[in-house]
Amino acid sequence: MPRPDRELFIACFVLALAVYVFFASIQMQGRGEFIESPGLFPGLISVVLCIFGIVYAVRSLLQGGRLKFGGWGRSLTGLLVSRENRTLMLGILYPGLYVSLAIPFIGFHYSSALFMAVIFFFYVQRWKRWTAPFISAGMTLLLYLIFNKLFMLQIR
Amino acid sequence: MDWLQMTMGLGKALFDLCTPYGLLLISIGVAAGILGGALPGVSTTMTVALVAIVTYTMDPLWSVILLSAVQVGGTYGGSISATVLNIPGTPASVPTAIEGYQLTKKGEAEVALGINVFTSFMGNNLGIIMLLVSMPLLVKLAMMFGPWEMFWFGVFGVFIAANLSEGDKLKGLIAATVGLILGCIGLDPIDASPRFAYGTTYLQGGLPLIPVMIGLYGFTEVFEGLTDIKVSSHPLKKTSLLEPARMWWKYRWLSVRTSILGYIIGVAPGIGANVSCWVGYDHAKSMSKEPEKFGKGSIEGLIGSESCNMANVPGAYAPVLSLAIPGDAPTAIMLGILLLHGVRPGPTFLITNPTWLYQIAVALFLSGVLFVLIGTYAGKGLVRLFVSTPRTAMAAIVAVLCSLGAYAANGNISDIYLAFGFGLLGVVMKALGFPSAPFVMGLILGSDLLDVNFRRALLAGKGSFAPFFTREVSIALILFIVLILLAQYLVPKLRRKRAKSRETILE
Repeated sequence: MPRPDRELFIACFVLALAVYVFFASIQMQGRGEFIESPGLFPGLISVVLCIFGIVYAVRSLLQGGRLKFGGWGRSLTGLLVSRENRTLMLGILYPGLYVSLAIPFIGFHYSSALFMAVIFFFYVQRWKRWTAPFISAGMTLLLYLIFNKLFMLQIR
Repeated sequence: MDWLQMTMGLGKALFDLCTPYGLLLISIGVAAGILGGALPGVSTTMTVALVAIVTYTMDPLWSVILLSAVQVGGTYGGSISATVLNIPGTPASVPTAIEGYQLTKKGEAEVALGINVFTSFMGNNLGIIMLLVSMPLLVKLAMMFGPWEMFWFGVFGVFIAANLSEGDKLKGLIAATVGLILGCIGLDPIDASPRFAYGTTYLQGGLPLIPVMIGLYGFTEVFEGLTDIKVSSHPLKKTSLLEPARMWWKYRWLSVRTSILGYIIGVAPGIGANVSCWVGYDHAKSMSKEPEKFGKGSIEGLIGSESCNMANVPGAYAPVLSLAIPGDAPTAIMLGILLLHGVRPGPTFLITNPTWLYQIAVALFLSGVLFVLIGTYAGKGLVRLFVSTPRTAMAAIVAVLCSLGAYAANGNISDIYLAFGFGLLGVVMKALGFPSAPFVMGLILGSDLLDVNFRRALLAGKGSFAPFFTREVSIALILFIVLILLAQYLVPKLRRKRAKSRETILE
């Protein structure tokens, strides 16, 4: 997607956010007068955000930005296929699995050892693969000793 | 200024801190800071956030002493990976990476590291002196402030953060404003009504700062570094300890000038070391007799950026202690820790707690002495460790530390998801050119400074907006803010115009 088009989409998102915050703020019930309303400050800030959003949108339009709803698929495919972004996706996927699945189900220490072992095994080419489980286990033990024993934090 | 009281206060602070417990705590802080600052992907801010976890049960003053040692160590540590690996350990180490890495390529890594140590030490000491001298003035000034002026200070912090961001200023302002809105999540500080909590108890407590920062700074680096299998390393040549000292002495006045600049920038809220390092670097370049050497391993560039960077640290303590405005991200975390302990800095804080300033000044000085020792002798070992550890492995370890840091802050697993989510947000913001620093400053200032003082001012003024614009101190502050903002727009334009006219004359 060309840069001005993308910027216009972001400007629309900023404006939508500002409008949402504004209406959510004015619906907040206060316990006293208007100036005591909890929605006063976020409401005012949403107006400021709205102004910035309008300036941003106008700037994008002046740069030739247009809202085109077709071509999303092509842009997304291009985004996922490029080598840099594929690497970034993997970089997000592994910690994502570690954070969302491994930690809640098998606990912090086991999941950390497993996560580090997988990364060391598959991606650290300079280290011999058989060393990966030992290094990750050693690191986990070190973290356990520092946080659980030395600082007495309850990390499970 | 009562010099006698200051001397006695400093003497007592030195006596209090030079105990086995005090020295051990500062040594641990400095070592952790150097390690965190030097590890690619682990910034000073993140190290302070991680170490902050262990201060929950400590005395508030000792907490700040430990965190200040971490900050001093981290600020120096950032230059190690920047010099040796060309990966800035902290954003403030980018100019150091430009010059230091070129020296490393020439086989002069140890000279560069030695210069970093001496320059950082002197910058730290000059910053401490300025902190002690300027602090009483700042406190007197702060006493004139009501909620109206505190509100304007908050606005100033957000504008400065947005305007000094690299790249698009409008995007900086949008990021700061979104941060301000997110800062409103949780219970209203005036009447405790829930705002944007959507019925969840988790959001009623507000967005926890530490997981958000770990996400924005730590996880964002992890995502980019985790599957990057390119590895680079350089050999290190041995050099004499006297060589860096001799080089520093040659450019001592440059070090003094850039230290003063660094301190002034540190005092201004929301700017921080990320900007001051560039100011110091720019000053060194503009005053240099050999500007052609910049970018090719210039000692002056290294001294300019490092001394400005380090003097910024003591400077950042002035607004946080006297105005409760964090000068940079690490002091924002410190402020969070103080609030957690029930200690609320502000205009009267140093009058009721006079020993704090001296204790912090002495802690910063001792941290400087210790990082000279650690940086000179143990730095070599660290350098070898970094050279031998691949970036991917480092990113995996950082990912584990990020999760650990986010979880340990409150013992709530939701904080890990929150940190991860803010990591994703950081990647998106980076890809779209939105700076994260104004966003974080907005988040901090929105919840703690702007909202509370805006509402307090309105209540005190019986609903009138007039005192915001009619009080003398408010008018002075508004003028100051407008002048700063105008200068930021006009000075670069004038410089460009001058450069163009110079080129025309030369042609």
